[in-house]
Amino acid sequence: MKTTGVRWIDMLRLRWRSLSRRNRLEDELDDELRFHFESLIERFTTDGLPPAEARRRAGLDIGGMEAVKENCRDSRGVSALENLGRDVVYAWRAMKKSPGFVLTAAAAIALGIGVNIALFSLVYSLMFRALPVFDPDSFRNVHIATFGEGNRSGYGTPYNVSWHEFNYIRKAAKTAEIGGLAEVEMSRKGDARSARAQLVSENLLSLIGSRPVLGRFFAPEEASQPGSAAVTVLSHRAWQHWFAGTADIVGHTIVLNRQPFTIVGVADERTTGPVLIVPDLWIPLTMQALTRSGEPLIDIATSGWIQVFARRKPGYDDGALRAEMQVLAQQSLQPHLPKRKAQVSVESGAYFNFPFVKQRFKPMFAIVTLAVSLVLIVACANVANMLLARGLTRRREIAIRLSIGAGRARLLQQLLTESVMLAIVGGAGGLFLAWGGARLLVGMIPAESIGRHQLDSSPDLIVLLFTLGVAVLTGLVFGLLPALSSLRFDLTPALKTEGLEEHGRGGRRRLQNLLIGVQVAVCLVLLVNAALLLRGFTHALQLDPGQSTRNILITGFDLRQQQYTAEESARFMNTLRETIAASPGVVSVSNTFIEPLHDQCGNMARIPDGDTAAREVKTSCDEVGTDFFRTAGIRLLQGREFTQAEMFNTARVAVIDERLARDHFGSPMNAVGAVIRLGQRADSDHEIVGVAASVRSLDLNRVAYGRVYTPMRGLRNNEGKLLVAYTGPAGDIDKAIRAAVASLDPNVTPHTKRIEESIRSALLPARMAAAAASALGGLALILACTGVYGLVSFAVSRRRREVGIRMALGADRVSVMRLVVWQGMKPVAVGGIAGLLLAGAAAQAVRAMLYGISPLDPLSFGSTALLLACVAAAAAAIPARGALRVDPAVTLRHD
Amino acid sequence: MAKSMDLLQGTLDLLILKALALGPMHGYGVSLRIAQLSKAGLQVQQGSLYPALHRLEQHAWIQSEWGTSDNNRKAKFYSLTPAGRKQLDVETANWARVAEAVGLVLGAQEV
Repeated sequence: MKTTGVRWIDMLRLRWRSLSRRNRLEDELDDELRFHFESLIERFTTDGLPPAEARRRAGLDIGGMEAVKENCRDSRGVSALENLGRDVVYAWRAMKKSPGFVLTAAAAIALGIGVNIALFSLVYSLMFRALPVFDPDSFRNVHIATFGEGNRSGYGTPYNVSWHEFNYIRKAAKTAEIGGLAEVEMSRKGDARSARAQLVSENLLSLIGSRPVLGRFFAPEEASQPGSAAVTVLSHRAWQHWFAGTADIVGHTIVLNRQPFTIVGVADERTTGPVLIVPDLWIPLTMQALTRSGEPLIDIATSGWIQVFARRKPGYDDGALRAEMQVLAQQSLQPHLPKRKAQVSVESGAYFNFPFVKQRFKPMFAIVTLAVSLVLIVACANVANMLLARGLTRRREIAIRLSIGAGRARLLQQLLTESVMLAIVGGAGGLFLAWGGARLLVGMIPAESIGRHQLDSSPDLIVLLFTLGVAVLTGLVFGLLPALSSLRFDLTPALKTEGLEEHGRGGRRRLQNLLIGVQVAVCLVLLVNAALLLRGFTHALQLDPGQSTRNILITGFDLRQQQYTAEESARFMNTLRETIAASPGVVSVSNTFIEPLHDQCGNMARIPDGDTAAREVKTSCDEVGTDFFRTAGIRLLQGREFTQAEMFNTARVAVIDERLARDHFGSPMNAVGAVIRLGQRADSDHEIVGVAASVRSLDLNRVAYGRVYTPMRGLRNNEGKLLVAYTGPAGDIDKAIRAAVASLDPNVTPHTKRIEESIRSALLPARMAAAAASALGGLALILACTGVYGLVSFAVSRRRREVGIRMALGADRVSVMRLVVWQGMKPVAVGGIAGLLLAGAAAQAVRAMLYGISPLDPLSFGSTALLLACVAAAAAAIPARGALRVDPAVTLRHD
Repeated sequence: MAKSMDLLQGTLDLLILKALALGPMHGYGVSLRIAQLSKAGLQVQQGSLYPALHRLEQHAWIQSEWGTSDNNRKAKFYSLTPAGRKQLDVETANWARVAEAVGLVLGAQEV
């Protein structure tokens, strides 16, 4: 055993020596052999031979010095590594010799690899990259899902726990210290949403390794009882921006949601919190009641709103943590939801690693991955074609190397080394493209909708390794076919003259055509899908949504942050409605709970069937004010709207939409006067007084449910929207709304938008998908067309002689042109047909985003095919003109 | 001079190991020593001697260091390693077996 160990080390040492000190070893070999040579001469001289003869004999005796040396090198056995080193140096020299080729090829690869890295780093940063906390290796997300009997409500993700559950788990946990967090928006100086806060357990800041630069963090008693301690810790940024970094800020107060909070400390600059959105300040979890109206969540044992984090204690691993959390989560449900089952998963801290995200986005992720891989495939085929053409010009070089004894395997290794190096250069370029691309993509997400995020999409070691891996693989893929093809030919004709390469040409040309066909086919798949998505998007804009899509303003305000009681908010809304209705240009005013054309409210309704049995129906819901249907432009098919009186009395009345009426009552006529139960008990029976036209929701994940409208009495959770139908310029109405709100309560800031903007935001995912698909399709088109261009110009340069003969024999320019262009267009046509078939299959995957456009929409397919044909024909025609400049006299004399 | 015999590769290795078992020596010395011991019956071709030496060093059966030769010149001296000594024993035993077997075959009487 020991000897083999020593041998192994010796071997390594020797190999290392032979690699690192190659020159010295070569010198040593020289010295050794020269010593032998001279010793021989000496011996022959002593034997009595004259010096010259002794020298000759010694030379004969020793044989070919170089051959001996080569054999010695071989027996040292470092060839593989040494060869790689030599290949790299050789490839580097070859690349330096043709910078134009390297640049073109590397650019194509950079595009292909770039989109892959961009996607990878985006997904990686969202779902896998460690959180910006101290020692992320022991920091964990704890996801507690519950299922089974018992009602459970929640805010945020389904993995959030209630205050009661959180405290139970936190106190009992032994394997880790548990922290909790909830994100809220608050008002500062009366401006709603002007402060982003994180409600935290008192230990959370120290749990993520934060340190106060001023003052202190929360004390346990400041976060122990609901309502305890109106204290806050400022983020470094808030301290700088809001208070200009005043040194004596601790002890001052800041008014949030009309409640003064004492500033007890300022966190250091690095502290940005363990979630994607960066907060301005932290307040104790126990101040939850202040952050929204209605019954405080902190009092409801079944309401999950706290996100759970764990800092593992030394000596415990994730398995132990998960096992303990599973037991504790189950026990925490015991008092209020004894029949519900908990299901715990523990994951390395990341922003978006929730199990449901991984599940829900898997199909979408697969589509996007496929799309970016397709671009890479086009790039590979493109570069492979360039290499094929280049292989011909290097044929002589390769033939010479083969004829002086280089092995084909060695040459293959050499050629592959070159293509892998090319791919690595391209990969480096792709890294830069991806970095810019990821920033662009993240920039497309409207900042106001999510707040200041800390998504870090800059490349790190993982991204670098991914790039290197993809680059090496890419290099092998696009390098293999051309390399094999350039090694498979007869030596003799290749050595004689470069011009005569008819030999084996058929195979090479078939390969080139195949590669063009692949590029065109893949490019068509991407382009057709892009066209479909664009068509779907524009179609969605033109759909009859069942309501007016013009001349409506939607005004929202968050009264939750103004500490209004239900009565106050109802009075506020009514006065506001009347004031605005009296303004010039206003046609009508109403209220709604949900934003028009969005679908955010779901409910279970029961429709009495016969005497006792009731059918359960999933419905979407909305609470609306008087004049709603007129304001929103929704046609009433039967019955009536809610009356002014019904807004203030307790009459249980409802308006349903046509879909619900037809599906469950037979017809709108039958529905009026019928009863629908909107709760569990008989006292939640509502009389249907009217049937309205169905309104289409533009949300992508919509499932079309029938809708039930009920009168809006007061404000649910102090949330509500004002709907204003108007004529004339929207700006004037906006001003009138602002003035009306300011006269009622200067602390309330209205957020008004036109209905067109609302529609646009609902269509944002579809628009982003269409934009991304167009960008990818465009990239593929550019690559494919450079491919066609290259193929035709190559063919023109190779067929000069043939064209010359044809012209000498009397062919006219048109037929020559047709000949050359057709050669480029033939693979385009074949690839195009294959691409259309593939695109038809691929389009099924994006059906959901097409808003009713058929996945086989002939317009999309036809226009895309036409576009590709035109662009490819242009790409073929430009270099083909070169053939017309052929002078038969010159080309024929050439040989 | 007697025409040199072609040596089986394994045999050359065995001869070199044996030559070096008698003491460290440079390549030239090894070839002289083998010629001497075989009473000039075996002439090692230089073309195979040095590759063989490098191969044996690669196997760590011999090791090398630079020293001074009898005629006061810089020369590379090879010596046997413990692993090489073991290998010599193994190959010697092998050789004996092969030689005996070949002898039996050649010594068979015609019946």
